[in-house]
Amino acid sequence: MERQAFLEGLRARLSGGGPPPNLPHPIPPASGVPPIGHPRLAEPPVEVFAETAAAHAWNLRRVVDEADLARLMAEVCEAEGVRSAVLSGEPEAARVGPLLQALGVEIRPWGSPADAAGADLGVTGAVFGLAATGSVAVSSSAAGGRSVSLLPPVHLALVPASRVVASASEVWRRLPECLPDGLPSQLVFISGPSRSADIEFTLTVGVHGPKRVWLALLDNQ
Amino acid sequence: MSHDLLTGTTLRNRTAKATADLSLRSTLQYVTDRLATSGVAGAGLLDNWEELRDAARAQRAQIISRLPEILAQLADRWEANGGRVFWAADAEEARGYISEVVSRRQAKRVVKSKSMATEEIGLNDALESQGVEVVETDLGEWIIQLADQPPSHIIAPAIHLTRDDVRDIFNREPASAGALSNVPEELCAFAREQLREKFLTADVGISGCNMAVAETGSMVLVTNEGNGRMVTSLPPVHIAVMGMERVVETWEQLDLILALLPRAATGQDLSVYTTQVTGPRRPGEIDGPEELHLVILDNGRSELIGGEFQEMLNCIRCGACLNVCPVYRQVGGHAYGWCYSGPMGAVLIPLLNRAEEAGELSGASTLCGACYDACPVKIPLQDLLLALRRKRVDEEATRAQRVAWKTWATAWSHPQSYRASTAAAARVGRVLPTRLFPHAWAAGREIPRARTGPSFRQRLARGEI
Repeated sequence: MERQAFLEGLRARLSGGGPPPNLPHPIPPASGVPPIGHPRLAEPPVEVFAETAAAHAWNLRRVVDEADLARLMAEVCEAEGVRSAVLSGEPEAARVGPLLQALGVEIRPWGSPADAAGADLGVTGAVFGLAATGSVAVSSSAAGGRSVSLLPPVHLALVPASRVVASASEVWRRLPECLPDGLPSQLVFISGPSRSADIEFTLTVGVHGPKRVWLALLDNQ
Repeated sequence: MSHDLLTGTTLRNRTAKATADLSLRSTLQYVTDRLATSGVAGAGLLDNWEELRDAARAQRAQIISRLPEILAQLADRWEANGGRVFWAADAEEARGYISEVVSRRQAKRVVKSKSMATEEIGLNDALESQGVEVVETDLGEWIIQLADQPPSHIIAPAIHLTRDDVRDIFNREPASAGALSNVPEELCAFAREQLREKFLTADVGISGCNMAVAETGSMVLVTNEGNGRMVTSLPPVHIAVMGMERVVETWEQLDLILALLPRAATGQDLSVYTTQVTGPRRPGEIDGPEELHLVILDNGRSELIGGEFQEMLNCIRCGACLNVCPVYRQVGGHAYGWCYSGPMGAVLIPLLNRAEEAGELSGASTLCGACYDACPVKIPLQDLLLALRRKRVDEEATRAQRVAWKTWATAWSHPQSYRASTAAAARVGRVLPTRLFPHAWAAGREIPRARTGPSFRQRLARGEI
């Protein structure tokens, strides 16, 4: 159908003065969008983020210096049996490349989704951490694509503490300040490992996306 | 098999089948309890749930009242971002456009993330008839696709099945070699392995659209499994099918809707993946679709605008009303006969060009209002169900029925004729058979025996009371 005809049809319907009022339950007048009442907005976002992310099954470690980061890489590789990794195009991810190589991990070039699917570990940065929901925001333009945080069985996200905000509202209601270059082609808020409850509402982890997720919270950065 | 059960069956024979299935009823009771409890817990995660519900109702109403300009803005920005837009008046046009894209790309395999809009337009059958392999990738949708069944819940389509059922369904697949147990982790691992290959080799990905955002020409998809991300990230073509009302104007409004949707649906503060798509893959990106299509679907929705059912267009498809509905909890989704079910389905199905076969669905409600209490955008579903009943009576009552009801109403509006009628009923009632009406609602009921002694009024006058 032509766009014009489609929209004209809707305009004709609306020109009748709107629906009759629902007398038992009238619609309140629209008066702006209230803030979302997350209970811990008054607390420091980084501290809230550290707690909620852990509650959302991120294996969260706080990283202050290079030695912490090296220790974390060793822990991840040990726990997950990592032998190969793909890195996103972000500087945070590039930073851990040599650390992983020092542990004998093969850093594979990421040129297609198949490359990411074949690796044991995917490493990305994050454009935001969302404290209220323990979420990590990954941008396709910052990361250079989508599949590093999606296809490997294990995802490690490096989140600078300076990018942690109180909640998704901080991003969505202030897009021009938060994303001065505009929205990327894909922005995803990730809140823990892939999960499903489609069989008898029983929680199972890792049905399509990463089964286990690690989060390096880069303090003082 | 067609999953449209509305043709050739009645509500009564569908509910009779469901209520006779004791395994279904115990599964339903367990799962709807779990889901409903999660929804209540989800509401408790925020300090101002009621304020947000009121605001969402008002915002959604305002958006619908400005729908033409908001959709025009969405389409302009979507195209400016490099996507294409198709305006589908009905299911046939939507199927036609998607088939054309699939043919042009010479696609052999299509992967889908769960979308009730594509169920509504019968997309899978259409694509399969042109020789394309269509793979549902939401775990629940994949289960029912393999079992050749329609969804029974809008967010958890396979909840009518037990883990034993799922084991049996998967064990019929050659790849399982019949060796799977009923442990959900094992069943999930099988699905992961089987579907991973499909994602990586699919030519086209088709998704629904939880909400589009007009101001930037974006769409948002919420999933927990990650299949929504796969479908929008890996195949070279992504087609999103959107019911035309599933749009907000601003990201501020989206923030409000997404504060409500996952909490009401599953009690989560945010789904695991909230995917926000703004245009196709850009230069310098390693993956992502080259082509991005948005199908904006009317299919009967525009007829709700301006009428007493307009508020149904506010629905954000969270499924909360299903979980708390005393009727849905007994009969499950298949009894409603189509992809939508529960109170939202009972209102929506007859309004989407299906009044003739589905008008009786408005009777599948106790009008208790639990759905209204659970609805995150406060759609007064019980008022809409009552209005649908009224509409149906207006359209279908015979002249004799109208005269009979009118006479009764007039008689009982005046004391003298009321008294005369009860005295007459007492006399006539003694000689009537206990079963009189052939109507379905009279089955199992008897006409009460009229009193034999003096009436209440007579006894009152005598001072006996």
